[in-house]
Amino acid sequence: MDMLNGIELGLQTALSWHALMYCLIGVSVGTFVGVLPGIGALAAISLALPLTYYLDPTDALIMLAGIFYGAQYGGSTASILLNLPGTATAAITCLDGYPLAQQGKAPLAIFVTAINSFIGSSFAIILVMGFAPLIAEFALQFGAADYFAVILLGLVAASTMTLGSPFKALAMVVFGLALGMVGTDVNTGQFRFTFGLFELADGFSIVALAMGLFGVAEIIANIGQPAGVMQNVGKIRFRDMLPTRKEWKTIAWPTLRGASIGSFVGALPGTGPGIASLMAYAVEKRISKHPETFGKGALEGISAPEAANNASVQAAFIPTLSLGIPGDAVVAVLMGAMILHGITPGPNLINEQPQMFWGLIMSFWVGNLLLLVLNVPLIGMWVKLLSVPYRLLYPCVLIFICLGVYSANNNVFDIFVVLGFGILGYLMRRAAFPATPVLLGFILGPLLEENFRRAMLLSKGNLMVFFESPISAIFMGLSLLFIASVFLPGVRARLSRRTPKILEDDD
Amino acid sequence: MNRHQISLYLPGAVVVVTGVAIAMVANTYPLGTLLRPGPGFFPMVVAVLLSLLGLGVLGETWAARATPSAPEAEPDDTAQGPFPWRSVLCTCASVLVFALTVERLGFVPASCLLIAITAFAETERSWIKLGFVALFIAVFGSAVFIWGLGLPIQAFGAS
Repeated sequence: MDMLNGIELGLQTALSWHALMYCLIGVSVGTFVGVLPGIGALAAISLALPLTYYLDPTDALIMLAGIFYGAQYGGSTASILLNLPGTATAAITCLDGYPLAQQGKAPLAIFVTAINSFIGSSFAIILVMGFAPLIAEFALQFGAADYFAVILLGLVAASTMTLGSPFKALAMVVFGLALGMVGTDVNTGQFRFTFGLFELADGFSIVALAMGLFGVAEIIANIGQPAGVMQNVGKIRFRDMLPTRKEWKTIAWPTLRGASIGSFVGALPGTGPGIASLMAYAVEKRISKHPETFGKGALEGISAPEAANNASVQAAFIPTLSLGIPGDAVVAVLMGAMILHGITPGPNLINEQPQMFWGLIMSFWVGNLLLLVLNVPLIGMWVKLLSVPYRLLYPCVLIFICLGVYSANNNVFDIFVVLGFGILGYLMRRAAFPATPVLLGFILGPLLEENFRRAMLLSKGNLMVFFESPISAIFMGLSLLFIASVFLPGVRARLSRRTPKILEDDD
Repeated sequence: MNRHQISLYLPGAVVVVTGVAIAMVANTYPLGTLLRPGPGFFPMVVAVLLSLLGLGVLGETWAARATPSAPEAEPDDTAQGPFPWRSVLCTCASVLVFALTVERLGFVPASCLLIAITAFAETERSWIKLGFVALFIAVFGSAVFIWGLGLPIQAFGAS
């Protein structure tokens, strides 16, 4: 099927009244959780996941994806007004967004981030439309060894391209793999690591794991903390939002550069919007003629990262939809949702479910247009929401988390699991262990093991098989390169010289 | 080595211990051969890797100690404040109480208990506002989860 037919089919799907409705629900919920610091897209998607069991799979995906990219729009609002990132990925936006708000330019900053989010997303959606089918076609020739190598690359890339210690991130990926082993071994039926608990026969529930590590851990970290000081923005008038001609000129190139960086980083399996916005910011600061304005309210400093994180979120669908390998932790949960609905993400998806693939992509356009409306004319509504004190919000979120995990299997056991992972997630956060790699390892672990065993069977136990097929050899080589970068101090030092600079400017 | 130093090495040590524990359990499953890996093969590899990475974390902590001005200082090394026992305990207690009561007493009483217990995590609380929160949760939660999704729990009473 060529692209034009695909677009037509996709539009038919995405413009049906129910798809439109779920798209609107998705992006509104996304903006909602994005605006509120303390609940990220991941917790929201995990919460909504059990609610979608009764929906048509395409509608369910459209809604869940809407929450994901919607949160990227909303995340910047709290960064600008509260100096608190609404989502972790919007942390960079605080650096220049909050100073802008202090100078009374909050409406301008909000408008610029919304427009840039839209441009970044559009850029990446076009790439998804162009590349996902091509890559899928190419991936049809992949054997078990090639799959093993791609998954490994995803895991390695996710854990070595982090800000903190690469050892900690790698350890967390491996820990995620270990969590993924809990349950019944598919090949032999052997129970592994269930410790006699019948509830663990199917392994940990992905909803419980995600909500524990991200939702409950976040609540423990924020509860009892003093609330942030909100910049009084007064009434946001549309007139104040529009940039002048000179300001348009300032943001044009940073936006495009941010979108390109974001698309590239997002399309790599395993690396997400956090890294994308950080890289975009670092690049802008480096090539800027006035690097001293960064951190004091430079428009480039909000436009590039915002374009980048939205682009990376959309581009993360390239590996997910074409290879069945999630581009980042949130997409990994989306992939879990597909599997729950009986759809196997992978190279066959586009041919077998063209209506779902193209419908989802065209819904991205619809959703981004809706988000532009939600975030520019209706911004006042979200700003009011920020004045709701957290201490009233946390108990509600906690109850929804408990009910959400309970509803997945109607089983109280999962509530204990979510609490356990919540405490673990909080301790990990205190010790600066990242939680995202755990989730990626957990989801990709079973796939990794299965492909490894299959490759071993096919090659009669020859470990060299991973380096014999050209495809897997390239991916293995890239993985080794990433791992080597951890041990080569030169590469690492250059990376870390670039990052702490930004972190220092934080205050 | 004082207490502060021990707590610095604690995370790495926990990772190593976890790896060893996984290896001990994995050892009870059939390992198989490289030609036909058994259910214990992959867990064993994972356990060994985890222990090695834990050693890596320990080594990194040690290196950061030796040269305090090392460029690889962690961004999260900034003072974190004392361990928030109150937040952790209140969150745990509230979720546990909710889990134990939701099927016995019903959704609304369990939610009220959760809201009341989390309130003690804050330094100040307004019971009137929390009452409104409880009312909202009781109505909204019952409508969505019990009537809408048909979860097998009752608003009031055992299910």
